[in-house]
Parts: sequence; C-alpha cells; structure tokens
Amino acid sequence: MAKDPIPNNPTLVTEEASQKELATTAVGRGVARALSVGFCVALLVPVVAQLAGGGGLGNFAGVGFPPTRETLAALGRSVDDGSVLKKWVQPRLQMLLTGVGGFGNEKVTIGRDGWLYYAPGLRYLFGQPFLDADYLKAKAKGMIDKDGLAVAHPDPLPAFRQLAEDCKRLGIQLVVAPVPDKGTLIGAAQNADFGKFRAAVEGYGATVLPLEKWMEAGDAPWYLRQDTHWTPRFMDRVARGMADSLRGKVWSAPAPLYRLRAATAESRGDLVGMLKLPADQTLFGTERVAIDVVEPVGDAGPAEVLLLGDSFTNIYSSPSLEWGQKAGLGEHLAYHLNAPVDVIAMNGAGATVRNELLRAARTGRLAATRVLVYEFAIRDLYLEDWPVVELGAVERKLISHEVKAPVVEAVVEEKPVAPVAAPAVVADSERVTVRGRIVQMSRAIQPGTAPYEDALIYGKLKVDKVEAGSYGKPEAIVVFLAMRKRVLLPGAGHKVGDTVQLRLVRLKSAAEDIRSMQRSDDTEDFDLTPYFVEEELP
Amino acid sequence: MVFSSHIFLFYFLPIVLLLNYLLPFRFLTTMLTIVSYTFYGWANPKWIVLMLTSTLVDYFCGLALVRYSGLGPQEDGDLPFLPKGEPRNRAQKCALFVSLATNMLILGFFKYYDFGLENLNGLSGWLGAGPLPLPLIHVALPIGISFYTFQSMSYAIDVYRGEARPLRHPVDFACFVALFPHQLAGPIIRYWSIAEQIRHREFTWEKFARGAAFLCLGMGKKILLANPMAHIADTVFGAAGLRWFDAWFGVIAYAFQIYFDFSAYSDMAVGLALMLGFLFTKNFNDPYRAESITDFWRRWHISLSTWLRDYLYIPLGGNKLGEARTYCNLFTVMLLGGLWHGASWTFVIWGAIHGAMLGLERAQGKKSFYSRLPGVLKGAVTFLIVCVGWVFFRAESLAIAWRFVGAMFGGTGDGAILGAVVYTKYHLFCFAVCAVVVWAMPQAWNFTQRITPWKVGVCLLTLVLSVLFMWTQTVNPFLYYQF
Repeated sequence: MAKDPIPNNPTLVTEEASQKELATTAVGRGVARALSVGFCVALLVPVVAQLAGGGGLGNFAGVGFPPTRETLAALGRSVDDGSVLKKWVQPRLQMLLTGVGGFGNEKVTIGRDGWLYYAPGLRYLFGQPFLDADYLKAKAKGMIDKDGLAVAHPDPLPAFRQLAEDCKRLGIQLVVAPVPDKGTLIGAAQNADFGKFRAAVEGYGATVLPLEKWMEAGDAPWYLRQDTHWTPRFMDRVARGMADSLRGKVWSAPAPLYRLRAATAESRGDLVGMLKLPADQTLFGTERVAIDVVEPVGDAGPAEVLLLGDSFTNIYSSPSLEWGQKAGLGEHLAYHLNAPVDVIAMNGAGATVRNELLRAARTGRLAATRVLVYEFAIRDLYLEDWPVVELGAVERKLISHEVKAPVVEAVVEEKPVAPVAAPAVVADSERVTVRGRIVQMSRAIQPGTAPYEDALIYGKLKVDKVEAGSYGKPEAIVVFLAMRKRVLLPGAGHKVGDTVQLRLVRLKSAAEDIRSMQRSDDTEDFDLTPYFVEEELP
Repeated sequence: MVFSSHIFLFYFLPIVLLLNYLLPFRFLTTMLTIVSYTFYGWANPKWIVLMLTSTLVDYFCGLALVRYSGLGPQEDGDLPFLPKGEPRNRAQKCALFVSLATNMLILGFFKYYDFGLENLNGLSGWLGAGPLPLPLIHVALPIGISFYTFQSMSYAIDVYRGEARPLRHPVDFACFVALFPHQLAGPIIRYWSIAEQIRHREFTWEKFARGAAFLCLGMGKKILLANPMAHIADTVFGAAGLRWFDAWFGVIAYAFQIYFDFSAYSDMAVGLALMLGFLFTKNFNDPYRAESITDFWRRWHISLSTWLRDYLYIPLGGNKLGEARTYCNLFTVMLLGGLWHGASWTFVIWGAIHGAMLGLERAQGKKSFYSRLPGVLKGAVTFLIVCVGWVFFRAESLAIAWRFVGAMFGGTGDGAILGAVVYTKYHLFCFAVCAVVVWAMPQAWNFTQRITPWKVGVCLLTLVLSVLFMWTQTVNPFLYYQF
C-alpha cells in the first residue's frame, strides 16, 4: 500500500492543511486539460517560432567544458537576444509603453515635450552623495555581486590622486573637465558630493574646470533633445573655456592654424536608439544641428595638449556617434587654442580611458605633453569603477617651438607621436596574421545594458605561430569587434582556451569609428600593443 | 537561473517537464537532482560545491544518527524513525552538532564574515586597539545560501527529533535539498513535509493545471507588478533628498515590490512543484490585510516564521519559561530572523521593530494597541508600521534609513528630476493595479482553488502578457535571491 504522501504532524497544522488543500483542486477534467495544454503550447511557441524563423536556438556550443559563470551567462543572453519573437514584440511593445505610458526603460527617461534623458545620469544628480561611505560600500557590493568584478574601486578620489601625482612627477599640468549631466536641465545642478570632489582634486594640484558655470543663457539649449550629449554650441563654449584656461601654459601658433567650415549634422540621437523602438517609429524624428568643421590651414607641429575623453569628446568628431566629423571638442579646442591637440577618446569610457593613457605613455605618446585635459561624463563618478592606474616611467621629450625640434608630423589621433619604446615594438608589423590560443578574455558586453550600440572586447592571445608579417612576442593583446548596433558578434563569444587564427592590424591604425568605440578591457596588460582583429580565419 | 527568464521558461522548463512525464518514476529523483544542480550552477558553477558539501554532511549526519542509535533497517529496507522524546547519546549529539556547525560555518563565512569583522574592527577601534589582523574577503554571496542551508539543517534536526526517518539514498536527499522550484528563495521546505513525496507522488491533470495556473499568476506578479514597482523603489531609495510624498510613494512601492516579487517566486515554486508532482506549503496569506503585526507574521513568509518557531523559538524555551524569558525569546528570534535576511544592522533594526511590536501585542493578549479601531483602519495602521519596517529592510545603511524615515514625516526638497522618473503614467497605473490586487483581489492560492474556464483564460492571458513585457525588461532577478 502506498504511504500517505502528506505526513500527519499535529504541531504543524498550517503546513499540513495547506498541502492537503493543494492536493484537492476543484477543477473539471476538461478544464484541467485545457489549461495544461494551453500552458504547454505557450511554452513551446517561442521555440517553434525560433526554429521556423531560422533564428537558431542559442550559442550552446560556446559554453564549453567546464562551463563557467561567464559562458553560461553568455548562453542566456544569446538565447534571449536571439529570440525571433522577442525581436518582433519588444520594439512594438516599447512603442506602446513610451507613446502611451510615458515610460522609457532602464536607460532612458521620457521628459516633457519629447526630451529624453539618460537615466543613470539622472541618478547621479538626485542620488546619494557619491563619496559617502555607505554609498561606496553599497556600490562596491553591487559591482562584485552583480557585475562580477573581482575587486571593486568605487571611490574615484584615489584614482584622481594617483593621476595628479603622476602628472606632477612628469611635469604635466592636469586639467579635469567633468561634463555636467543633461538632467541639470530639469533639476539639481550637481550631486551633493561634487563640491567635496572638486576640493579634493584641486587639493591634489589639478585644475577642475567649472563647465556648469559655462552654461550661459544665450547658449541654450545646451544638450541635444534626444541624445545624451551636448549641443555643438555648448561644446564649443567649453572648448573656448578650456582654451582660455590653457592659454599661456602651452604653445600657441602666431598665425591661424585652423579655419571653420559651416556644416550640419542630423541624427535621431543615442537615447532613441536605447529605447529600441521599431525602425519605422514616428514618435521621435531626427534632430538637425549646425556644426563647425575645423580644417587645418597650416603646419601645426607636435601637440603639447593631450585631451583624454569619452563620447563627449567623440561627438561631432567620430563617425561612431553619427553626428558629423572633425567638429568635436578636440578640434574646437585646437581651434580656440590655435595649437594642435592630441586626442585619446573612447565612448562610454570616462573611467577606463586612463588605461589607454597608460598605453600611450608606454609608447612615448606623452613625450611632448605639457597639459593633460581629462574630460569625462560627471555621472561616471557615481557609477563607474575607478581603479588606480599608475603611469610609471614615461619618456619625456619636450618641444621647443622656437627651434621646431624635434620635428614631428601632425599630431592627431591617426598619426600619433612616433613610438620611442623598445626596438622590439618597432619590429612588429603593422599587419600580422597569427595563430594561437586565447588565454584571457574581458568581461562580456551586454547589449541590453551597454550605453552604446557598438563595442570592442579585449583578449590576450598566446601566440603559437605567426602566419604572415612579423611579431616577436609570445603573447598579443587582441581586440575583437564584439557588438554592432546592439547585436553581439562572434568576436564576443570567444572564451579562454579557444584556438584561433586572426588577421590583425594595430588598433591605432584601425578605422576611426573602431578606435572610438566603448570597450571591455580587463587584460591589465599595458606593455603589449593592442591589435584589432580584422578577420578570423578558419 | 531566473524563473522569469527566456532560457528558463522556453528551454529549461519544457525539457524538465518532458523528462518528468516520459521517464519511469524510478529515474525521476536522479533526473530532478541533475536538473536542479544545473539550475543552481547556472549563476556560478563553482557554488555547486557549497551546496554539495552541505548536502553530503547532512546526509552522513542523518545516517550517523541512526547508526549510533543501535536501530537497524526496517523490513521494507527503510531506515527507522528515532524514538521521539528519548534522550540521544553522545555520538548522536555529535552528529547533529557537525550538521549544524557545517551549515552555520558555510552561511557564516559567506554571509556574515565581512560584517562581523567590520564590527569587531569598529569595536576594537573604539576601545583604542587597532583593527584585527584579518582581511575582509568581499566575496559574492552564493545565491539561495540561506534557504538551502536552513532546509538541509532541518533534515538533521527532524531526524534527531524523531520526526522524520533518514534517507538511505544520497540522491534522494540531494534531490530534497536541491529541488529547483524552491532552492533559491523558498518556501523553506522542512524535510518532514516532503520526505515521503520524494519516493511516492502522484501526477494528475488537476495538479498540473493548478501548477500551471500558479506559474502563470506568479509570472504576472513578478513581471507586470513587482518589476515596475522595483523601478520606483530603486529610484526613490537611491535619492538623496526626498519630499514627504516621494518617500511614502517609494516605500509603498517597495512594499508592493517585495510582496509581489517574493510571493511570485513562492507561487511559481508551488506551481512548478505541483507540475512535478510535489505538494509544497503556503508561504503567503494576504499579508497586507493583516490587522496586527502578530497577524502579519501569520501571513508573511510563513515557511520562515514556522522554521524559526520550531527550530529556534521552541528550543529556546518558547513561552514555557516565564514571561520575561518569553519576551526575550520572541525578540531574539526576530532579531535573528532579521539578520538571516542579510548581514547589516538595517536588517537587525527591522527585526527589532517587528520583535518589539510582537512583544507589545503579546503583552495585550496578542492584540494590537489599535485593536479598537474599525477593521479597515486596523489594516491601514498595520500596513504603515510594516512600511516603516520596510524602510530599514530596503535601505543600504542605517544613516540612509533614518534620513528616509525623516523624509517620510516632513521631507522637503527638489523632486523635479525624481518626479520625472517615477511619476509616469505607466508607473502610476501599475501602482494603482498593485493596490487593487493587494486589497481587492483574491491571492493566487485562493484564486486557483477552483479553476473554471474563465480562470483558464485569465491565467493564460496573464502568462502571455507577462512574457511580452518580460521581453521589454532586462533580466531582473528575484529580490530574495540575495538572501
């Protein structure tokens, strides 16, 4: 005889009663079958649609053995993002939520009169003071538990102190330019701890530019309606203010080096992209702005100003943001200063762009730098991880403009100062084809939460064989294109242990839109020159 | 893996259901154990080692309890119950101690080590000594650890008390601990309540249909109600300066969020278990309709309340050792219940508020001090007290909690940005729907007691709507995963 599945325990009447009640549902056989079958059909529809739509069931092959937290999470994302039904439903439902409900999503807040705001930026403004000990503790916990960081650096001040100390040691003036958030248009101008931050950074010997005070009434609107970034006019005002603060500290040419050419740029804006609306949506049209393209008219010579920045530097300059080219902060700073400006800028990288500064230092790009302008979105102080980056030994070779020596060609990002590092670096080809095994991969890019549509991911390759060109090191930093238009590419799916054959080009020689993309780089290897993966060969 | 995710709903679940109904019964426990470990390891495969350790230790402790009793297997091959009420020998006490110590060590290390060390350092600093020579470890908290350690411990305790017979087969026991419907966020299933079901259970259309109904409604609660409320609560609790009505809006939204989120998980767990043939216990019973805090604790997270009552309050002496000791026990249990949720003083304060209220009400014959008010007002006052408690439960630090409470009773500030984020038509609509569902609709348990054709429509429509909205949201794990 089968035992009673529900034991009789007189001390626990509630549990026993609830189990017994659960076993006796009042439902007819037909109704029970209808609900059961309907439920099962509902579970099967997405998979059937997936197979019928030829979408593939997900990147199960990418999980590998043994599976890791990262590969399993990547599988989950590939299943989710690759869903044919989701791709059809999501934009249309978002249209309804935005159009009728006035709700954006986790990234975008819908404001009045069609204005869109980047939600994390708003959180910086009304959020907890970002230097508060409790906030820092909670931020660190979130970074470890949710973002998977091994070690968190929630406090930005140590990173700025180190950068200021390094700059002082190298004789470089550090100028910090935190860009106010667009949310200042509707409320508080700053997070409660910004004053504390400014005082601390100035105490380290850096200059903190008062960008928020340059939002002059006549220049409104300061931000684009449907984009996270500033208008060309506000950007130009900031460039002018920067130039004023730098004048006298760096060389300026006696004769004009640049001229302006009027142009227009038109786009829907990155915030509309983040809403993931249907391609034919009519809620948000395009926005057109007048920009001033900066054209060189003279021989500029080497740059004494290095502008380190994020997407606020790239907008109107890099094609990756689709708001025109050669009219960004770097170009306008050079115009107002009448001096060349070297630019290192990556989208979404206010905190991590310092890694590129370190790479630049290792390749001699800081040799002539007298002023480092560090531009970043102010919200990064609140949201980002701020590990300390030490520049270490940096070769210096300041320029005397009176004698114009040593002569170095145009100083723009495409043609940086010639490397002065070890001869072995010079021996490596610009283009090389290698075969090897991936020994390290950075954290995966997440299309749903990444702030930009395109992204790169860094990995480290143990080089087994050089198939073409010359490459003399046992390891290489390889940079895969991981995401385009929020669609993960095969490059994002690589994992440690994969054997690959790659056709590479030095990252600094890759297309300009590639170089300005946001990136995931956990390699922490700043001695190797990063190579961009042009093609994965079979 | 999260119940409300694409990969769970459309890949994992259909495969598990298919296997459950195709495989012969003798393979089901093994199958469920394997899929449950897969489910658990999805978040981080390394954490499987912890669950396996806890499981193995408790399994062998269970065997040891019988072995050292001198009793042999029964005729049917099962191991016997230990005789109730009889004293246990030294070896048996040792076996129980090993079980409790192992689980508490696992839980203590991952959940409380940093918290304890920080407080010890603070104390030693206050006393003028330097910090202790121990590092903070900052490890990620393995999900569900509080649930499965409690469940696993309950096995050894139940066997020790003679309330359940130990399992001979380790896979049976591994299945009980890991069973995926309840492993991450409960209900906390005590071993005795499910022991026989692991070996004998029935599969019927009625059970499957009710399970499906629970799952559909649970999905709706999580995706359509809890997640929008999470947006409001996260925003408001993340704000530095609040107007009084923003603060109330935020804390009520959090009250809705935690109820719909947690009860959604419980509903889905009960539903999944039913579809797999198991009968779980009720975890919520309209808690926001409670008319006193005592009443609230009969309705909220019932499986934790009963666990704490049976394995902590009663062993401490319960109400048998005099008035003073009863109040002391009550307060201790609530403090520890608070601490069970997380390693922070905010949870301790939350537990203390509830402990104090329970003590107060006990002193008045288990009646609230507002028991003479009309029923609706009693419910409203209880809800307000619960909301004040939620402030401490949700806030990231005591300082933030106190600031928040201050804002609730007179806060002023610039709320323009906050208002733009949380007072959208969509969120206000969801907020109103939450209120209606809480106070004017039957809960999932009651709604599914009798399933009629129109209820089938409601359930399936809820499921479809939930899935559609799930696709507009980023994956949003259940709140209780972090505990």
